[in-house]
Amino acid sequence: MDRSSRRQPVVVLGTIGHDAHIVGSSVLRIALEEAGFKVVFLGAVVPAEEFIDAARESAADAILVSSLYGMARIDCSDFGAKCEEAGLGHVKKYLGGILVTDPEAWDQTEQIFRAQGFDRVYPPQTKTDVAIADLKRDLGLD
Amino acid sequence: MTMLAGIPLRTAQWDWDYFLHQRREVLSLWPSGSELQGDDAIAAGVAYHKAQPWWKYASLRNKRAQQEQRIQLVPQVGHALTEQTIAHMQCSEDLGPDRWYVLTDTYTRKAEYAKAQDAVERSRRDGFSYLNGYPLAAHGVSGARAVNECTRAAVGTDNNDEDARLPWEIALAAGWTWGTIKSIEELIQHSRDFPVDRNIHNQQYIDRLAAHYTEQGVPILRRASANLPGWDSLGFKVTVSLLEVLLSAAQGVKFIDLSIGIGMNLVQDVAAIQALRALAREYLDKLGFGDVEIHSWTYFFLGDWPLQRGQMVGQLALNATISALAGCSGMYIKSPDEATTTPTGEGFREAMEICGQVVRLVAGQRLPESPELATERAMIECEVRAVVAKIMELGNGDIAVGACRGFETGVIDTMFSPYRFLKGKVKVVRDANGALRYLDPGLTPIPREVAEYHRECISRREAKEGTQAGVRWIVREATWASRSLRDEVAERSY
Repeated sequence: MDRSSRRQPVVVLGTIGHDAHIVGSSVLRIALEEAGFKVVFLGAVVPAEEFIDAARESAADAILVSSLYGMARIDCSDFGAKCEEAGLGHVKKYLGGILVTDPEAWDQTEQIFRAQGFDRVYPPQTKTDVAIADLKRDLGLD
Repeated sequence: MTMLAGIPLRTAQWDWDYFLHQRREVLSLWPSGSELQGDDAIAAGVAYHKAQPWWKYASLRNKRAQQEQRIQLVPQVGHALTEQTIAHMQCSEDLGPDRWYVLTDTYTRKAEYAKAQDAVERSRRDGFSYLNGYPLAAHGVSGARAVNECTRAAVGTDNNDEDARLPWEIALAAGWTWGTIKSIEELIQHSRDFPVDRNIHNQQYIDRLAAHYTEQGVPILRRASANLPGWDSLGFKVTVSLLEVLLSAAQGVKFIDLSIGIGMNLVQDVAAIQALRALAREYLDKLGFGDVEIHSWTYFFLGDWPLQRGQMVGQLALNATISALAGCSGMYIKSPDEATTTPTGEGFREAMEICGQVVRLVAGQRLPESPELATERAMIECEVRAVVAKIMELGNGDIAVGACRGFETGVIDTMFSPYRFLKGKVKVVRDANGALRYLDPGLTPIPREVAEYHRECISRREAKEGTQAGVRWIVREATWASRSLRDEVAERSY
């Protein structure tokens, strides 16, 4: 990818695993594009490997993963390690949605997914501008 | 995957021999199917059913509830382990749920039984449910019978599946008495690229099996589902539910619930429920299925639910009120946990109390007829007739064939679907009263008068708010119901 197009930050976005909930990532896509990001939108029902392939192909700066159906613990197993293996250790990894099937305290949930390699983990109904502000800060775009 | 798998489809009832041929393959999908092999297995299932009391049957509960003018409540359940699932159900047993809606986990829904089995073992080891539903194939008939026997309610299964044939075999053999039809809805709601014809064919298998049990004197009920997301138009939901009814009746199913996902505009929801009831009766009679018994039901809003407990309770109460005022036989309720986790047993107990109280107070009352209700109903009927006529035309009179062509041509379409083969050209927004309107009907054959009526309703909101309808409205409406009241107050200028 050449330098001029590289100036626009690139994010890979989608809903992981067998999860069909597409509305959250669709809304985030619109907000990210409005905020000047190039979005590689994978839609819903996306295997972890497809996020990684897309991130590699697009030289993405961040991977944004959505999960609404409560099975994120299985779908996101070793996500960070898989990225590392694919040479994407430097890429920021965010996760948000309804992440667990058993109600747990939020800090516990956050810990589980941080241990799976996510840089930031968001609780249900986080506003898009909160995540976008974090992303800009993490990518040094402020 | 391609949109069509090349399966020769027709709507007419399957020959029993064709069914049996398919069945051998279905039962070999996972070891739990092997105990159902052989000619005697269905007979054994029927015998188990015949020893059950009448109240285990959703179809018979419908009749009794109607006589008593009582509105039925159905909570939901589904965890990785049988004992977790039973514990959840026991939380509400004394509140007398009429049915339990048992959802299977997403792996089972996709026929990935090895992954489901794996997650069951992990769940057992860690004392935690790694699954978002009950893995029917993993637990087999013995597990499903334990679930059935822990409650007086009629137990049934969801069909959020691309291939639910084996889970249905197990459920029926275990004495479960009802479940959902998702020939069309499943693809729009949960699928990425499963072929349309294969999905319809899988559903026909289940319908044919259910009809066979009914022929043997076991009144199995199928629920024609158009839960669909909360932003879909009500006319579209009525079309989907009606197609499910007609496909199912063609296989010989005799007891069908007409289920509509609530959109949360009182007049429009009631109009849709009334329109579906009238159209389903009319089409069933016209196509020679006059003996099919139908009942109106709702499924609570499938969209955003608030985090704040008080707001959540308010939203549950509104959904229950709409269902009751529409004269429904019953409703599929949600839990106050909806916004944060896979719902719990305790959450559903609270939901049973919230909705039970509303229903007790509202029962017997109906939304009175009014010009607004009549207009809304007429618009929905006009839309549905046009779309169904187009589907029939595309299929040369065959609904199953026409439905496949409907997906291909954009006649069946909506927005925000994970299904890659939908055109995705339709745009729906809310009007000033919160009713759902086509901003753009895409390639769907919506009659001009309906499109103009929707446009007029949208214009009134544009005038009221001083903004133009567009993508910004759609984005904002993703949190239409769940925005916290505090945020709204913060936006006021005073």
